[in-house]
Amino acid sequence: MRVLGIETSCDETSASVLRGTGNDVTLESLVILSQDVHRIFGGVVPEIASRQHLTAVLPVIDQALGDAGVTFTDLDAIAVTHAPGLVGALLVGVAVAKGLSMTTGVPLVGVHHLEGHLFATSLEHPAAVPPFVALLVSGGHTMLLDVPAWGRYEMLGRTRDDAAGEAFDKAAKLLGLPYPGGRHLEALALHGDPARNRFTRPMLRRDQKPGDADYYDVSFSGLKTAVMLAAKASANLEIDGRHIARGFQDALTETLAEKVARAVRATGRTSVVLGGGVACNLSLISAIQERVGMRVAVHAPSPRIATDNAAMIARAGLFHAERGAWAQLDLVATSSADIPGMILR
Amino acid sequence: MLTPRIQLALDASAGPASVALFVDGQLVQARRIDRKGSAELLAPTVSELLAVERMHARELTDIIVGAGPGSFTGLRVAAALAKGLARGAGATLHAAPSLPMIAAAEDGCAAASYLNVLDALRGEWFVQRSTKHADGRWTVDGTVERLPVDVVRTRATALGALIVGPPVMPEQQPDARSALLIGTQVVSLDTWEPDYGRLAEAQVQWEATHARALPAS
Repeated sequence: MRVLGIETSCDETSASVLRGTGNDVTLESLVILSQDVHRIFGGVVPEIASRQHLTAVLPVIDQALGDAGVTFTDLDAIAVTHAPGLVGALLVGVAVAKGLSMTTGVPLVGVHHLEGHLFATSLEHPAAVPPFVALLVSGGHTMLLDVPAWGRYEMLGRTRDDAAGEAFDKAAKLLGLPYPGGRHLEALALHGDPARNRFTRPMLRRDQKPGDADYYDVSFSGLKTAVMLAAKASANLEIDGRHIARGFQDALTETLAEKVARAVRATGRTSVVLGGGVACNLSLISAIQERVGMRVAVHAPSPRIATDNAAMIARAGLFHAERGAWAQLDLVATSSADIPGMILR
Repeated sequence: MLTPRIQLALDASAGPASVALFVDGQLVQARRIDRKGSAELLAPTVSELLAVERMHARELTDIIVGAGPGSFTGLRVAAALAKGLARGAGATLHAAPSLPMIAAAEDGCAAASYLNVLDALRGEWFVQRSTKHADGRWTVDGTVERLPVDVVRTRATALGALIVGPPVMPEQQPDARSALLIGTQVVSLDTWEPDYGRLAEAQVQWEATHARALPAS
């Protein structure tokens, strides 16, 4: 099957063509257009993002088809992100996909954005397929899942407040770094002294037991406050910023690494898959590898695949298309929805 | 035998959305969607109208979409659907001003000058003038403006024009049935976007603070 993926859930307009069967897939093209305008505002402005998607989406789709050397007649499915995300932005992708599907006769598949992130890493690492423990870490979500098979996702834990990426961006802002701040903070932390600002590891206690409500859950709002207080207390943030950044990143990554290690112990999985924009943070990857040990494989996507992209939507769309899970023209764009197949604990 | 032109018009600039199907300029099917989330029901409605006429969407030769101003989301959904349909069918995309579709959709309205209005919030109306001539032709006069309600009323009196639109009569809505009466303009599939009537609020505030236009992305 050959699938066109379309992704417009936030501030990336992306299209991709992917061909394959089961887990044997070939990425034929991937085009991602990032909207730089939001840097000015220090965050994504939904109305501006939606307007930009409307003028970008067809050129991006045409380029993805052209790069793959295919036309609509070569496609077996059009997969589009329909949830979760900014509704105005999602609606653009969904409406364009409906128009294309109606006129070309290529059936439509609605894809949950986070399920896309679960599939993303397998595009670069063929071994990143179920069963595995998944950590989804992005600007909007932080989830720990057990994935026994594609389409079956057991929620182990999630953030109770800020998502990991959101915490990175907020901490970066407090340190005066440009938006989006995650990667700037990661770069700055490289030069920091880990002993200078050792922040409490949030929601991590030695006496926690499996079954405790906070055994897998995380919380980053307190960590953000700790960064704020440290920044305020600093007489020279230009010098201290790197140490605060290091302290923040260490606290966040070690917390997530411990939660992942707990999930690996509980499930007996031998593979961990990371997904989402924070998943390519090298400190996070090495912290998790250190905690789970060398007998467990840790698969992380490259920055290009970690960010919001249509290749992962096409990949998840292929899974659903192979099962005949087609969407109809009443497919709805929605800001929040559980991943299909999700089992909540 | 010439292949007929199959023209589809869409508008979702106001609360209700509307769809109309024409063959060689003759209206063959039309539907108004009054439910909440009407813009999202455009695609199934288009499909229904085509099915009634035993047509396939790939046969569409022209897509005409309401160009605004009005509901940000409604305009965008109609535009995105229109672009997808036009790209997939290889059809020509046209934009039609949404406001003049109000008066032109009123069956049997007299030859006169009309000020078509939509609520622009904050005590303002979007307004655009159109004229029905004695021979039944419609012309659109001038561009869209956003004006205080009392200014529109004063202007209507001065021009001897009739105000039409949902703020004065809820059932008077832009309707895709009248899209071909008021004149359309071929637009680029790639770069065209509707006239939203307002900038995004964040952009307004940024430009006011910085006294310059927001840089292009």
